[in-house]
Amino acid sequence: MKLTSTCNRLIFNTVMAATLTVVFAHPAFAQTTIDLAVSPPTAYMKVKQGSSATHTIVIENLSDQQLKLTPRIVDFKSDNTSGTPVLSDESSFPYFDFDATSLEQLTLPAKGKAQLTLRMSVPSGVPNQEFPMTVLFESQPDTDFSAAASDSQVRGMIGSNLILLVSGDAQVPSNLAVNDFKTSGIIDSFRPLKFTPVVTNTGYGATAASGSAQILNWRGKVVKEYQIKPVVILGNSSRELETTLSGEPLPTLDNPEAAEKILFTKQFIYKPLLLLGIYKISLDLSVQNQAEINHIIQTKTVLAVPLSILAVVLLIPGCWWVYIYFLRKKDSQ
Amino acid sequence: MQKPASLPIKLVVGLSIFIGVSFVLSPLVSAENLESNSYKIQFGNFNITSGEKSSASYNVTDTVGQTGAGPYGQYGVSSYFVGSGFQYIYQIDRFKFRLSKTAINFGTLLPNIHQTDSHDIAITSGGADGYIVYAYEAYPLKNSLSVDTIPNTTCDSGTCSYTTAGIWNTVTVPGFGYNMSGNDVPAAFVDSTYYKSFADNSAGNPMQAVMSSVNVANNRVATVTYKAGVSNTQASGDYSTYVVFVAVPGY
Repeated sequence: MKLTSTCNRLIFNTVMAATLTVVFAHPAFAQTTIDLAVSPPTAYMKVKQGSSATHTIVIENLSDQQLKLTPRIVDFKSDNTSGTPVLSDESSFPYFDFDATSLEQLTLPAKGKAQLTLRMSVPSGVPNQEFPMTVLFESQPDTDFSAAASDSQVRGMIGSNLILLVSGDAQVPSNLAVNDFKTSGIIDSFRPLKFTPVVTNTGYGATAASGSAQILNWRGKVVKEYQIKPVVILGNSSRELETTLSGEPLPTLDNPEAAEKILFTKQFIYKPLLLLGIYKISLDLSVQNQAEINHIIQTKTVLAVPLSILAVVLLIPGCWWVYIYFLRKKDSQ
Repeated sequence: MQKPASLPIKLVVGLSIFIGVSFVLSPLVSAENLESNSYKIQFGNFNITSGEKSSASYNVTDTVGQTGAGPYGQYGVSSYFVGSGFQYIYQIDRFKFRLSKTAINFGTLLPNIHQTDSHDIAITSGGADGYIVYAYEAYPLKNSLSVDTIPNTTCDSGTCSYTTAGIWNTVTVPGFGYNMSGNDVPAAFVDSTYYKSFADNSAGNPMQAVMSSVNVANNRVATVTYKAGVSNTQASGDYSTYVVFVAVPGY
């Protein structure tokens, strides 16, 4: 009897414990992932007034669960320093053949792909204008978010850039100018010569720029050369140029894997043991819009003087004067 | 007289066999129609592959390296252009973005105890112009049973914000914030003690960069660590919001 009652109590306790665990436990929430890919990452497209065009983006769900995606089109602008899009909340492109503010949500199965084709018709007579925009896909896991009340959701959005130019010009005029080297005119002989060329595009359309920079000493001898990473400067914007961090040559399409290993920097640095005299920074930009290639050559002169030695030379008499002053003051007391 | 007559016959038979064999052995050519009347979302398998290949939709030239190539095509030659040259290496490859988790679980928040949770963010961007990942919160953490909210952290010094990082170690300092570690994270996150609050979308704060690079990115991974704590005067309980990460390729 005793054994039976012990067994019964054990079974009762086990059943109660299991029930309480089920009742009071936080509902389990699957730790799903968001894993997306878009193609192309960035596209440049020109549409003539009075014509139509389409643009297709492929979106892919690389995760193992179904995802709900909401497409959205927003404008972006340049940050005027790099090729980083600064996103807006809305789209100003008025020539889509559909309501760009309310795109349908789609459900993408695990490992599934979908393509979004945007069709636009640009009327005749509208002005030439560039429209940088990003097509965003906002994702949420297609699972019921009935998790614990303390669970916060994490959502992801992936973007594909479309830089669309409305233009009737056969050649998009390029108006690039190097308006700043971001360096002082006088530098200390014991410090490196650092500069960052800033290119401004006052034209209405994006322009590609590449080229090289050199530093020449007072004899006109080239003491340092840099290759400039080819970049696109959007219309009516600026961009800081970049070079390779350790001076290695730029990769080519024959060797694209090399691109993964190269790091870029906006600081063009020349660091010899001693800089002395006049140095000339010469920037040669190849600017290409469609078939036409132009060269822009801009220079900046920098004077290197031993400022730190001069500072020390001036500091010693100064300190001596202060020392004498306090010594005399002490004596007079 | 018979010999010249047999030559054309042999020629015709030979040519027929050649054409027949060529027809049988040649691969089938198929094309996908990517056009639509307005906008169209289409499912299924497509002939667009990853990698630096051209497709029916794109006009990719193959100038290389140092010569700049115009971003837009020429009329009469192409009106649609993805790119060429170094800046476009892998540009028609895919841009990939991965979040390792979709839920932040702090459990029940109690006064003077900081709770943390974390997940990874991974980016692969073939384009030579890098990428950026922005983040924002929909609103500050809200209690599920009341109107109580947990303010965004101002850190130990009371001066950190969604733009400025600061040390946040003191458990009696309540709030909600995040730390970033790993690849391409802002330098302001000096170590794991530095936190910022999220840009609050409900207050109109602009979203902030949490990862960015100007280089080709091959599976760059960063960890975001969330931290939350309630004050002595605040109700313990379950608080939640949602956090959004926006990944965009560079141009």
